[in-house]
Amino acid sequence: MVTILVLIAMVLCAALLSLSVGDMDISVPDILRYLRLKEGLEFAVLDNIRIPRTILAFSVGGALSLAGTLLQGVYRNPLVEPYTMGISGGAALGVAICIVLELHFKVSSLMLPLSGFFGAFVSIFLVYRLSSKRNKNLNINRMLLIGVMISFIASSAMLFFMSVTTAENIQSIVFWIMGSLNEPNKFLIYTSLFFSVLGLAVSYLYVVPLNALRLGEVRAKHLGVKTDRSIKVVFITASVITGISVSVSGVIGFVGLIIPHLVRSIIGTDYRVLLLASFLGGGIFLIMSDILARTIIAPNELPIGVITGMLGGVVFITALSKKLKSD
Amino acid sequence: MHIVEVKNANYGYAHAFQLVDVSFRVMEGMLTGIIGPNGSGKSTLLKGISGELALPENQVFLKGKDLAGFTDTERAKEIAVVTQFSEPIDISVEEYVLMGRIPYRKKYQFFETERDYEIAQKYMKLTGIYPLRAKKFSKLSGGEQQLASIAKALTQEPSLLLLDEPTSHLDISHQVQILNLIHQLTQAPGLTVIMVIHDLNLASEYCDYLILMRSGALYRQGTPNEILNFKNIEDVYKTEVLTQENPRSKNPAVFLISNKTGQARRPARFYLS
Repeated sequence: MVTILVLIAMVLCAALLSLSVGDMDISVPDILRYLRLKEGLEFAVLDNIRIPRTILAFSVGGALSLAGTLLQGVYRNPLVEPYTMGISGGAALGVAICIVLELHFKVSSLMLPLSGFFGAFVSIFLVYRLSSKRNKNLNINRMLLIGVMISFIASSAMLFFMSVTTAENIQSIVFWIMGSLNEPNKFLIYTSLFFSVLGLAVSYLYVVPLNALRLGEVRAKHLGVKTDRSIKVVFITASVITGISVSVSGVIGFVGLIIPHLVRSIIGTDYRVLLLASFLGGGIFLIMSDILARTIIAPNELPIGVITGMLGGVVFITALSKKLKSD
Repeated sequence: MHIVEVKNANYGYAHAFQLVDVSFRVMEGMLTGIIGPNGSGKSTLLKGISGELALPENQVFLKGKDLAGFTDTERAKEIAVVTQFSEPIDISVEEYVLMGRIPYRKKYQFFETERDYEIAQKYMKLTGIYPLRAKKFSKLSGGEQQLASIAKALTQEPSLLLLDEPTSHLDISHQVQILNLIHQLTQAPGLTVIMVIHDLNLASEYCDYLILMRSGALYRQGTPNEILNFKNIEDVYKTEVLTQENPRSKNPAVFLISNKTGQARRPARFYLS
């Protein structure tokens, strides 16, 4: 309980910092004043740029971290992350096709997230169907292997499209893959937030099965848990929130792998606390990473994937070696 | 009074191993052992009752009701299972044992009730792991983990306890400790136990009734005295043995014959009257 309160306080601090830092520094007391005033350049910056961006960072970070926690729990494999299951590969392929065909110019800029979304869902569908159709029982390892294979196929196909297109398009694809929270469309941002929170709510309906699954699938069954159905629902929930996050903000790596590990090593494996804690933890991590990404080489912006990868990796190795020392 | 009835059971794995018309009854408060060589269907038989394998209708009855008609939670309130090994998870022994209350959770009930804690405490005391309750489950020894698993199973408050080779990886002191505990459970709360066990001597000492399996079928059933003679064992295991009476318990004891003793085939045997 205390952990959750601390995390909520940290989310608020990170969010305020994110609102205050940038080309135009706005002090924290001023933020509230401008928001109440509802006019002026500062208000426009806050309302149109920083608030949506902070919300997006929170919802994408939370969603990816939650998805990682759910998948690591279901597969009982600490190396699984949302992208292992081919979701990001599918989304990237969808976006690559969109860029190569220049649909985002010809039709609408919304075609980028839409085709990412479509790509992500095709791959989720394939993983799900191919691993659960043959026999009634869901085979977890088969699911994992098919996910990894679909991921490979998608990235090879994406490389193919990159090899036949113009240098300009290649650059767009690469930038998309590196991920960015620079999303002007507020509808997309609120959709992403809505689904992240919905995903959190749905996964809370499955905390008891998730806790039982820590014992292994068979022993969870002995406790009367419907393991197959729980695994399916959890997998689909994790996939949907990942797919939406990836479509809106590109492939932001490491959040879904490292934050779940870190949070678990601090608060333990009880999913009743873990789910919310990793959701909040992921949100904090991505808000902070975004602040770094847009301040280090200001006025330019680093790709956020670079920051999350480096920051996440360093934090993780530090935590791990501390743990080794204490053991 | 029998509590479990298995009637012409032929369940198993689709297009693979299946039981061949197995029928037997398990009496209330008894410790029934399932013995037989590897691949004879012991575990398959147990997995049908534990709910791991899909069960056809009208093959297994619990308290007179068709077990195939039970929901997962209904079954988990009646039948608890202890497996050979447990996942070494990083939670306290108390949390581990409390998981036995999962079948009793109401929908959307996230936290344990006061009563759940009382029941868990009772069975941690009964199994002797209460002093270890704050320790991490993964840090316990193999024998202690097995005791905690039994405590978790008892916390389900089942009428039937299934054990799948609960002692095969333990030293003799833990084997005896755990089997003594299981025997005690059949006495005091009157729990009915079905146990798959490899060690014929432990089966002989502890089980009230034995079911000897061969190639998916039930070969013989009866008391240890009726089942554990050299003839049955050689027929089923294809291994020469000697059987003799345990001087203390008067139960049959099985001796192996190695090639080291250099005895000719078919040596003098000790018949059991």
